[in-house]
Amino acid sequence: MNTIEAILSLMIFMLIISSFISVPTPELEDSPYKLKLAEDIWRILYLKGELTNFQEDKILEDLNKIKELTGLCVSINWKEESIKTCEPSEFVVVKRIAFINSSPEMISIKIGVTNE
Amino acid sequence: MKQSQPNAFISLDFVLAILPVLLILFYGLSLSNLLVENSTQNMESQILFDKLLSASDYVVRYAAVEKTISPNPKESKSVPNKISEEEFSKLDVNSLKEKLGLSSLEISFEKSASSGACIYRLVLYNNEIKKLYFCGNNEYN
Repeated sequence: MNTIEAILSLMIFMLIISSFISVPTPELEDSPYKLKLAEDIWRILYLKGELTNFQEDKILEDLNKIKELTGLCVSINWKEESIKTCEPSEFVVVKRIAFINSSPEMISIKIGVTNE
Repeated sequence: MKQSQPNAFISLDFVLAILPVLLILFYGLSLSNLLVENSTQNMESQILFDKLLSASDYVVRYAAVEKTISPNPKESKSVPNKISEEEFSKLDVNSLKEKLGLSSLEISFEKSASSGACIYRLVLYNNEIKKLYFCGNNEYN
């Protein structure tokens, strides 16, 4: 009787432990890094003067270059409009001010990996 | 009164009962050991990642970027993300490595072939968008 009880306890214990083992191990906390990359993209566009003159074709050219280098999708949104290389699936967003047609507008820069 | 079961059978029953308990203990101990090892490894990777991120931030925001030097230090400005060839060549990687407690640190526009972790930052170099790699290893690895 004792043996049966002990074997049953062992089985239950194994069942509980196996559920713990299947829990995925925590991944690297990289949200500050993603934020830095979004800041880098904003800085690059700013330094190249794309955000002061807001030339959409030039911005798209730079975003395509960034996608080619890093594989990252970038989407710039303001009001109802947007410029994007592809739709970011998992993204980080930074908000900055850019001059669009000589008036300051709040733009959001989203970066992420492609889900295509 | 005479015993209904022989002693040998009681001992066998005891052994069979204690065996799963011992197995549970052994399994529990090896599992906790594995979990501790995993969490230590994760922590080390996170520390290394954070150190590389700090190094990259220092280099990309201040150390290797274009600067406007003024006689008044308060008026001197640096241009984050715009890498200057001159400042980049002057970069003291060894001192940075020691301050961060890393066994190796490489900062270059090409990804290092050596082992260890690497991160990259996007910069403007000669008016071109480039990836600047920061590769390193922890001292205790």
